[in-house]
Amino acid sequence: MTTAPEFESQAAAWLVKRDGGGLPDAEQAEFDAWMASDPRARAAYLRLEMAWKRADGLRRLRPLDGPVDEDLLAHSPFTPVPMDEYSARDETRSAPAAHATRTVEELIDVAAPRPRRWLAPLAVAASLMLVAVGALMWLAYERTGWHEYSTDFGGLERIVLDDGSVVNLNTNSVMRVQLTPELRHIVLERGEALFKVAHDKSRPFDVQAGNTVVRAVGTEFSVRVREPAEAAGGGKDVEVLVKEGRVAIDPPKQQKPLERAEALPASTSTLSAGEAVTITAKRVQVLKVAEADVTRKLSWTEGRLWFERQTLKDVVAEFNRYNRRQMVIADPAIENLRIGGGFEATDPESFIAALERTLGVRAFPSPSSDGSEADVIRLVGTRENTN
Amino acid sequence: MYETQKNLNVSAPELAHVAKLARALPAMCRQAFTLRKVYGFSGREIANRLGIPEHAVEELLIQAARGCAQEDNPEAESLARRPSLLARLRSRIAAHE
Repeated sequence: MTTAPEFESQAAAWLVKRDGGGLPDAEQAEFDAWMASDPRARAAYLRLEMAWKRADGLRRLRPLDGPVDEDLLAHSPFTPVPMDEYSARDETRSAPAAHATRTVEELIDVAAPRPRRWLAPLAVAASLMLVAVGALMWLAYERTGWHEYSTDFGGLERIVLDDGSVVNLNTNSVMRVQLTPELRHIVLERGEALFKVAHDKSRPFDVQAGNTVVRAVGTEFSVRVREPAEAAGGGKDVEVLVKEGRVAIDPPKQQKPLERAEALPASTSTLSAGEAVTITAKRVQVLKVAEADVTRKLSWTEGRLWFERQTLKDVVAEFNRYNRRQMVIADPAIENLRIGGGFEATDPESFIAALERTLGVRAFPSPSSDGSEADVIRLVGTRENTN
Repeated sequence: MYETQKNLNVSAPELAHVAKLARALPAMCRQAFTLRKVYGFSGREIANRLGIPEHAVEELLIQAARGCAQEDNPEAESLARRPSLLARLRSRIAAHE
């Protein structure tokens, strides 16, 4: 008869085998059969798997740069990781940054995650378990000192955190913050924020957006989450822009096997001031941003929107983030008109007046198609701009 | 997708607990575990780095997986130091007498 420790060691062996990559069909069948053989086998497996997944959180302890240290966990669990790179000194910036940009670009066009293969009854059991775990985590979350901040349409909040970091929270955004002596953990659930991080080498400042984590020590950067409806890929896309200093970006774990033993995992990279990255389900793209453009892109922190030769379509989408009363382009012919200049984010009327005056666009209020009480403003062209 | 989210949301106390359990692992086992969980290395990369065969890495990770699933219980802090079931029963019986 199989004893509990035997089930546990079999479960651990399967767990590690599956963790190393997808199983060949024959082994998968063997695993499925083992799982189906005894409820104690399943229980042992699920228990070990939960702990194993929980250990994935240890990625947060990884230093941004420097040699790999396999004895990292031998020291106190949260001893400061070597972050001298992060003192935001100019001389440390150039060379590693060039390397970092390259490694991020290498990630372009990674494969989509592989679907997992579970037996149906097992999936039901697992999902019930996840619900229970979710409920427990919610309780834990309530007790572990998370603070939530949010803004409505057109809102703009300046929040000073207990560590001295300053956050500008843009329109229609939700952010959760947990500060402990070891870590500063921010979750940007929705919207956009600019973080001016108080320097503290011993406490990494992690911003999680979608499945991406941005880590900083003392620096200034903005993060924006694009909701699935807005994003092309279906998942939450994330944009990061660095104004000052450096940050490390950890996009979602890729399925691609890592080939370089000495370097950091390919999924980690650093960004310097004047660099922006867009992370979607399909690709990670790094762009250089001129200083003037950084200022323009962050003009929302003053409640203003600055555009430079952007299409009307993009400009309207941007205004719609700040106002309940949405604008709709009802005439494809005017979608690509180019717009420049600065406007108050919460004053679309002035913007519309300027459109009518200079580009001959006409605006008509009309009831919203989804029946909500706020009406929409339909924009149409006139002869002079459609011809 | 849900799992990735969940893993990133591991709370600081939970993380401290995992790190504590990891520290109680034997050195090689802990190193293999660190390279996998903190640095995201593949089995082959860990094998190269530690200079051991890949199947040995698997054994170390299996040991680590069991060590990490210990309950939040001071008695269970270290697998090595954990008294046997029999010894614990004896001490419990002794306590009752």
